[in-house]
Order: sequence, then structure tokens, then C-alpha cells
Amino acid sequence: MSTRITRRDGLLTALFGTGYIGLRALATGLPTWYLLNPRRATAQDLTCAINAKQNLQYLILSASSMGDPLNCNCPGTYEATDIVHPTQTEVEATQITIGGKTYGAALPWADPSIVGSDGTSKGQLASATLARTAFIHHRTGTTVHGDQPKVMKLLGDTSGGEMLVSAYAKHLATCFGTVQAAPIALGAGNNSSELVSFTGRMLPSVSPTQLKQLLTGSKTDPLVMLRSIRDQSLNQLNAMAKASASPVQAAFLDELATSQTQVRALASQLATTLSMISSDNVAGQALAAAALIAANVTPVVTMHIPFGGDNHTDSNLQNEADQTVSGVTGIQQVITALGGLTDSAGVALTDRVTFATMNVFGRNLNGISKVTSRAGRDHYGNHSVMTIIGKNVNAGVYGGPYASSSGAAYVAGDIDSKSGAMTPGGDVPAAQTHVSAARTLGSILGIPDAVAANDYTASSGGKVITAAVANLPTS
Amino acid sequence: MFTKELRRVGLALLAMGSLGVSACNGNIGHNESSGAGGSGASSVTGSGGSNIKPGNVTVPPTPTDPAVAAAAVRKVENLLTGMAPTDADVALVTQQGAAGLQQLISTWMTTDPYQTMLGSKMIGLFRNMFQQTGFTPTEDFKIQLLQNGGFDFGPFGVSAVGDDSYARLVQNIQDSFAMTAWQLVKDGTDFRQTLTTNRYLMTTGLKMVYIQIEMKADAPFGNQNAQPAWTIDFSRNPIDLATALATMNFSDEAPAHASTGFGGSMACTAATSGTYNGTSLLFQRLIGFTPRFPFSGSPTCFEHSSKPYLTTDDVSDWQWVTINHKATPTDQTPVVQPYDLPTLRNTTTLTLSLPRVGFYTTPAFLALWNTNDSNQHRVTANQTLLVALGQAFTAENTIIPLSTTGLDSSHSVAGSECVGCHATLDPMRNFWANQFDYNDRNDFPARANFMGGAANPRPTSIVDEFAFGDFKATGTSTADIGNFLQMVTDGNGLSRFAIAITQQLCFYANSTACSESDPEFRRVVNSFMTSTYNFAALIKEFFASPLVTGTAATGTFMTANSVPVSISRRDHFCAALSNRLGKADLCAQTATLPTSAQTATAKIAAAITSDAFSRGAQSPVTPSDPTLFYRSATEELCENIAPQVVDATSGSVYSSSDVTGSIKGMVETIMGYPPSDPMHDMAIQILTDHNTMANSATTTGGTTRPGGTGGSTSKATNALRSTFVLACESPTAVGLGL
Repeated sequence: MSTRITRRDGLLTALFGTGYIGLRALATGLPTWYLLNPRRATAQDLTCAINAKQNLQYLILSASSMGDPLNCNCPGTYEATDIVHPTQTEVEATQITIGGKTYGAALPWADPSIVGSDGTSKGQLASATLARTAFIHHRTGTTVHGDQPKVMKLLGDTSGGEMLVSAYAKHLATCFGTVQAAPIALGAGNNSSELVSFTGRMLPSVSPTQLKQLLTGSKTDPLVMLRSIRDQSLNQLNAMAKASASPVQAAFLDELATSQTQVRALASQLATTLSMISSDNVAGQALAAAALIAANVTPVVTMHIPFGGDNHTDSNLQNEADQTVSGVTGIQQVITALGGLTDSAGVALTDRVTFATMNVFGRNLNGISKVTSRAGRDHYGNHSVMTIIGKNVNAGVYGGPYASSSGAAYVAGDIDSKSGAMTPGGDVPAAQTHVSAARTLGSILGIPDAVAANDYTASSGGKVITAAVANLPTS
Repeated sequence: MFTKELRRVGLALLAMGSLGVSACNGNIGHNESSGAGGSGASSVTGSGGSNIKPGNVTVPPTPTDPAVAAAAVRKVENLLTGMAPTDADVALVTQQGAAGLQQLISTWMTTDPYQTMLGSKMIGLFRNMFQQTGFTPTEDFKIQLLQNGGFDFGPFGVSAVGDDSYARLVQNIQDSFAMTAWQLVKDGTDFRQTLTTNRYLMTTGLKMVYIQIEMKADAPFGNQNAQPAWTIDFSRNPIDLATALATMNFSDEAPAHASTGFGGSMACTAATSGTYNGTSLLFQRLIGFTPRFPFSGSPTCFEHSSKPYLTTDDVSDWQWVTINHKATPTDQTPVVQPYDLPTLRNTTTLTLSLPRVGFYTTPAFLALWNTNDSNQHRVTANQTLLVALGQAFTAENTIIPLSTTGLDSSHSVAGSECVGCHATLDPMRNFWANQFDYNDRNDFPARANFMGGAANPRPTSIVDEFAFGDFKATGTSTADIGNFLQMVTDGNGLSRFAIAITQQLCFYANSTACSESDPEFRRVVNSFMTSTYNFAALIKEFFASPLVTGTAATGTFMTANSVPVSISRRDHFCAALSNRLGKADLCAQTATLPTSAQTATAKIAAAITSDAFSRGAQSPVTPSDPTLFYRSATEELCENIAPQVVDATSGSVYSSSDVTGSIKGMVETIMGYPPSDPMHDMAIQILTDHNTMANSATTTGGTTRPGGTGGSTSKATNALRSTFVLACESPTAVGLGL
């Protein structure tokens, strides 16, 4: 069987990609990603189901499979005197005000104007950032590093085993009209690191420097200059292959054609920001994440900010202290990078993007000799903290550590969803605080809990902690 | 050109095909190739060559649609050898379907050059399958080879290591078990030996590493009296190995290749010689690193690179080595000193204090899954289950162990959420914890040290409890676990090990899992078991199955031709380019002393999605979608490689003086359309049109990429290079299953 490529075919494919995906998207109003995989989509996937679009947020999520001790030194953990903290001046206890209330916290969580007792250490989080920050104390319920993907799936409480980031992305992509619906994993990847999947398929990771290399580069190299001509020929090859392709093969060929178009568009859009990236560190990830969102590539970017790592053996909790400083600094770098860019409407990305953390588990706050002697901390499934920063956040501390008796191990307690306070017997039982944190983050992103109802299993439980949400979406 | 030859072979094949199944074990479809690429599959001293026996064709001949047959051969041949199909290959599969494909696979496994290529691909698969790669040597070996010794080179890092013995030694560590597994296959051995073997393919350098790991912990600080005492002569005059070992006075001879980084080209001028103590630092000197002297914050001489005593031969002399376990594991006196390279070079039996059995006790596996005083080898046990059985501990485990010996009460308080896992996990961790300390060494410190290390006294009673799935037993050594892993079944007659290995092939081929209830999947698994776990027979059976080719509906893929199409991930893409173009390691993945051009190429190649695995994950990480990043990375790599193969100053594959022949070669070799394929002529026309357009448009500016000749590059050259890029990024080159 032979297929003859006509000049008209060539022109059309050059303009709209193999299968004329672009043309079909224009004609139908359906997003290209839906046209590529219509069988995978549901009606909900096709249109933006959210009315209050002005408050919708992109998401940058710092994920960790290490179980960093972020939960040990953040606001909400200093009021109980038997919770153990590092003693270094760089993280000394400081009073900070969040949402009109004063809490103890490690120094880095304070504004840079706050200087430590040694005269040199100082806060790392700008007060403007802190004014949009929520700390939700919750339980992930696992102590296994490898459960990081399961924690992303709320340990079985998301529908169809979907990762939370995937569920958020599906809602947001249609509303933002992003280039792709799938999240982009910047800090993930390589063996034993954080995994991110979309609709059940594992996503590859791309490092900031790789992103820079792939989307910037020589404009004078003759092979680069010939790309536009080559694109036309490539479309012809795609069309030729598609002529006798099975539906599965045809879908793959369409995806190839679309990705080719995306690369060309993004290279010009992202060049300036990406040129500033010099490494894969947190600053590089921050720049890359901001650039990808500014160019409307994806609604969700994941990254990794270390906060002390897997510190079983951490003499004097030195690593924990050092990385609490660098971790909070990293968060501020993300916010600063966002502040330097705007969306297509000219709105600063600090008003369009929410930053959050999700840790596979926390670490022991007290109650074991290793912690008491400040020699390290072990895995702890009963307390973790999700940090959320964004325009739709009511700054504050939600939930908190609770000990059943003097000297007992602190665990995340029940929460009263309306006040956000840790309240024994509250309407969010401790066992459901992880789902609650996820639902709350969804609301802060602008996704009404009713719209997201199908993202969770019927038995998942949990409630939005409404006290934490500034612009509670209802429809 | 080899086209006529192929046609001749094709006719012969057609004739042979008519002989039926009984004649189908000979060498068929011997394709011409200009050479193999990639790494691995080196020659092995002492091996009896290849004894691969894939077995007879097991399915009857069934004619297949030519287009479906072409896509199937293109996919399977690429996956297994990296090569493109010939007309003869496609004709055979068109005539006989899966039976023809089984014949081809058997031929590839038993005939050079395919056999070598297939070996390289399988070694790459085994590195991931047995989780032997992905560690960071300078960090992850700090516990086995000690901080301030071994691979811990201090603040200058590998910049202070001379030549490439160290880099090759690291490759040895990650290749050893993968090569061992492939050699077991080549020797015709039961694949279950990957769980029980105490024979490994090793180099002299690896033997040195294995012994060094169980030497007394003598790295600085606080070990100034460690033995042996030895010196370095800082004059930079050479001292040969025999003299150095006789006098224990080693040279500081400059390496042939030194890093431009700090420590790379430094020498010690402030002292004439320095005295050191212990084997941890001597190990470093042998691999090209001269430690600082003295070992303090303000040394007289800083650490710097030197010529290694470990030669290139020492890190490439692969041979079978049997590792025996000492009767008295507390005995830390080595049978051979780790620095006695002349003896090690001729040693084929090592008697060690630490047990080394299967894949789960190799230094690579233990470095990747570092344990600690809290984890206490739980990660080691869990990852072992994931590799061997494709399953891990969950709270839903229903089996009850023989006893609660080993259950850690601090981790699993009765009635807590943790007990479900710990009840079976904790007893099983003892298979390691009873014979390896928390540093996966043999020190078993009785007391905690001031550096934060916990006390870890040697256990007095050795009781290892295995309880997983439908099998439980008590063992007395690490070696027992391999036998126990073989006993676990799925409860319906299939071995979990056989299921896990076959499932790994599903991911390798399709980037997705097969359904374990699929009758076709179970048939393939069963055939693996009935072949006495002959991996070669599994390869033949699986890759000819509709699970891979999609020629029929299966329980996994419910309709014919619905097997997912996947991107060609990095290992597949690079192997295909190297093997088809006859240029080894085009992606510069194994260069131990990379040129700046190779460094650039490797960096681009690293952006292409590759196969991986993750802690605690039951499935390998095999991304399949052609994302914009994949698209961009493959384009960059193709552009990078083009000057090395088109009008290159040496070893060029394609020439702008023969555009017609070059384009024909690109279509048949890179794109995988043999002459009789309906797409062949159309593809040639598209590439030819592109070459013409590019020739009209391009300037004469030269590329600065590797192989480029700068500003004098002609329009014709640039046009043909662009045409190569087009072929290189074409759908059939970047997709598996088209």
C-alpha cells in the first residue's frame, strides 16, 4: 500500500501538525491534549468547570521522599516546651506573627529584618510572604520513604489511584488553557527520588539546566537554522507513517507532532528567563518553575527543596539547622522568582501561583532518646506539616501537635475546620488531616471542593479547613 | 553496498521458512553490520564462550499482515539488538508470524554481531532490573569504604583523581552483577542462580574493592597507628608496582590525564615524602589519588592527582571469581591484602568475611540502598523483594511468621498501624543484619562513636525468618534467602520470581505492565518455568508474543494492534544509533576521560528520558510519552551527532558526494524501512526533497558541534547533515511500535 503526499498535505501538516490537530482544535474548541487522547478524557476534562476563574492558581509543589524534618521547627511546634529543636543560633526560637497571632518558630521563618542573638543570623522569609503562609499540621500515616507516591495519592483516598498533582492539574489545565495538562517534574527524577505521575503514567523529570539547554542555544548553527524547513519535512514523514497507522500508532504520531510545535513556541517565550539558570539547585528550580508557568506550559510544577533530609544520624541536629535555613531561603527564592514575572494579562505571578510542600512523612518531635540527645530524628507518620503560600491563603497555623499525656509523643491532633485550631474531637479527625490538607490546598488553588468531589473516594473523609482559605471557591 | 546480499539471504530464508518449524534453529538472517556500539559484553577470561540455547520454535507458523509484521520486527529487533529490519526479516515474519520472529530472535541470540549487541542491551536491562546503578560513588560509598578513605576524596572531589582507573572502577561496580547475569545466560544456566550465585564476573579492581570493604576501619581520623605504614615519594619519579609493594614506598608520578579542577595538576613541593597509615588511604593512592599530607586541616601538601597503580587492564580483565565465606566471620585478617595487585590479578577465588550471594549483597546494591541504625536493613530486604518478586511488604500481608524473633517493638507497637509490615519485614531484615553491620561492613562496633555512629554489636544468635506470600522458613545465613525467594508463588502455580522477571520485560518492551491474569502472560511465564528458567528461552517466547507485537488480542491489550507505542528511551535510542551507524558509544555514555565534545554530547543525551527504578516502587520507571522535552532532546542529540557521521573528517558514514546512496542508507538504516517496505520510496522522496530545500536555504557556515569543521562547511554538507537529523528524529527512529 502506498500513500502519496500531496503539496496540500504538506502545507496543512506544516501549519497544523500531523492529523491537523491544531486545525481540529481551532474548529472544535477542544484542547489539543484532549484530541490526542479522547478515550482517556471525561466530560469533566473538556471544559473549565470552575466559575470563579479570577482566583484560580497555578501550583508549585515541593515534594520530598526523604521525610525532611520541616515539621519540627516550623510555627506551631514551639508552644509545647518538650518538643525538641536544634539549639544553633541560626535557627534559634523567635516570635513571629501570622494571621494576627504570635507563634514561636525557628529564626529562618522570620523576616530578614529579624536578626539572631549572634548579630549575624537572620530571618529568611519576607514578611509579605509570611502574610500569605499557612502551616497545616497533619498526619501522612506512613513511615516508608517509598510511600511518597502513595502519599501523593493520599494512601488510597484519591479516585482511581490518581496523584493529587494530577487531579489538580486536570482541573486547572482546562481553565488556564495550558500547553499541556501534565505536571512537570523539575526536582524529581533519578533513582530513589520523588515520582510524579499523570493519569497513572509516570512522568519523566527534567532538570533546570536541561530545560535551559533544550529550549535555548545557538541561533546561528546551520542545523538549528534549518529547523523550520526540517519541521515541514518531519510533518510529511509523520503524515506518511500515519496513513496506515493503527489508532494507537496514530495517537502517538499526533503527540509527536504536537510536541514539536510546542518546542518551537516555547523556545522563544522562555529564552530570557531560562538564560539566568546556572545550576539545578533550588534557585535554578525556582527560575525554571516560574518560567514554565509564565509561558503557560503547565498548571503544576513539582520541585524539591531539602529541609534536613533523612537525618537519622545528625549530630547536634546540625544538618537540620543548616537546611532549615537553606530550605526557607529556597522557598523565598521561589516567591522572588515568581515576583519577577507576569502572566499573559500582566498579573504578577505571585498572585497567580500557590507554593506548597508535601512530605512523605515528618520526623519525631520528641519522645525518643535520639531526639532528646539531638543526635538525629527517625521517620514519623503521625505528624507532618504542609506549608502553603499564596494569594488565597489566610495566613496562620492550622491544627497542631498534641500529646495525650505529659512526656508522650506529640502527634498531629484533630482540627476544627471552621477555626482551624487543633481541637480534640474537632470535625477533622487526626486520621483524616492528610486528606483535609489536600482538600484545603485544592480550595486555595481555586478548585471548589464540590468540583473536586470525584477526585476522592467516597470513604476518604476529610474537610476543607475553611479558616485557611481566603477566597473560598464555591462554584 | 549490502542490499543484494540481503536479497539473496532473504530468498534463502523464504526457502527455509517453507521447511517448517522443525528446521528453525539454525542461523538465519545474518545481517551485515559495520560494527557494534555501546558498552558491556566484554570478553570474559575463563568462560567457555556462548552456550545460549533459546530452544525450539514453540508456535506454529501463521501468516501475518505485512505492515503488522514490519512494525513488529522493527520494534523487536530494535529492542533486542538496536538494529533495523531487513527485507528478509520482514518476509519471514510475514510468512510465519510469531514462529518466524522466534527464529529471528534465536539467531540474534546466537550469532555475531547480533549476539554482542543483544548482550549489551541485556546488560543494560540487568543493571536496572537488579538495581545495580544510580548510586553516587563519592557519597554512597562513604559507609562501605569509609569517610575520608575509599571514594571519599574530600573537598576537591574527583578533580584530584588522576587518569580514569577510578571512573572505570565505578563502572565495574555497577556492571559486575549485570554482566554476571548475562554470563549466566550465555553459559546456559538456570536464571534462578541470580538469586543464589556466589560466582561473579569481576575485575582485579573489583576484587580489591571487595577486600577493602571488610578491612578494619582505618580511615582518618584517630587511626594514626593503623597498619601498614607506607610512604609516598613526592619527587614525581616513577616507582613500579613491584618495587612499591616491596618497599611500601609509592610514587607521586604525574598522571597522563589530570583534571583542570583544583587538585588536578598540583604536586607536593613542600615535602619530599610523606608517611601514611592504613589501607583506606592506600586504596586511594592505588586508584590515582594522593591524600593530603598530613591528614589535617592545614596540611603540608594538599590532596592531588597521581598516576594510578590500578591499570586499565586491572579494570577490564573480567573473569569468573568464586567468593567463599570464611568459617569465622569475625576474622578480619584478609587472605589477600587489598593492595596486593599482582596476587589479585591471578586470583579466581576470594575468601571473605562478608557473605556475597546473589544480587542483593553486591557493593552496588548496598550502596544504592544505604541502611542505617534506624532502618537496620529494612530497605535492603524490601528492595530485594521488589527485584526478585515484584512485590513489597504491605500492611495487608497475611502470612504469619514462624516467630516474632527480630520484630522491633519500638517500630511496631502491638496494635499500631506499623505491625502489618514490621511483623514480616523485621525478621527478614536479619538475613542481612546478622552478617552485615549498619555500614554494610564487618566492623559491628560495640560502642557508639563520637562521630555519631551508633553501637551495633555483632548479633549472638543467628535466626533469620522468611515469611512472604505463601512461603515461610527459617534460615541461618544470607545465602538462604536466595533459595527462599524461589519458593514464593502467586498461589496459582506460577513462581513469583518468574512473574517478576517477565513483568520487567513487559516494561522494557511496552513501558507498561502486563496483566498477571492475562492467559498469554501466564503462558509465557509458565514456559520460562518449564524451560528450567532459561532466560534465553524467555526472551524468545516473550518478544515474539502478541504481548509485544500486538498481532492478536491478549488479556492485557484487549484488541489486536493496541499495544502502546512508546518513545525510544535513551538506552534504546543511543544503542540504535551506535549499532546502526557502526560507531561505538555515540552518546558518550561510557567515556571515562571524555573530551569536551563528548561531555557536551553526554549532557544532551542525559536529557533524554531513560529507564530507572525507585525506592519502594513495584514498577520500573519507564516514561513513554513524546513530551516536548523528549522531542527537543532527541533533536539536539541528532544535531550533535550529525557532523560525526556526515562528511566527518574521519570515519564518516555518509557523504555529500553520494547524496542518493546516503539518503537510501538513512532510510533503511536509521528509519528502519527496508527496500520492500511501502514507505521506503516515499521516505526517500521526502528526505531527498528536504536535502534539496536545505541546500537552497542553508548558508556555508560550519557547525561548532563535535566533528564539525568550522566555517568552511559547504552547503551540501549542511544540507545532508540536516537530512540525517530528519531521519534521526523521524517517527520510526524515536518511537517503538511504529
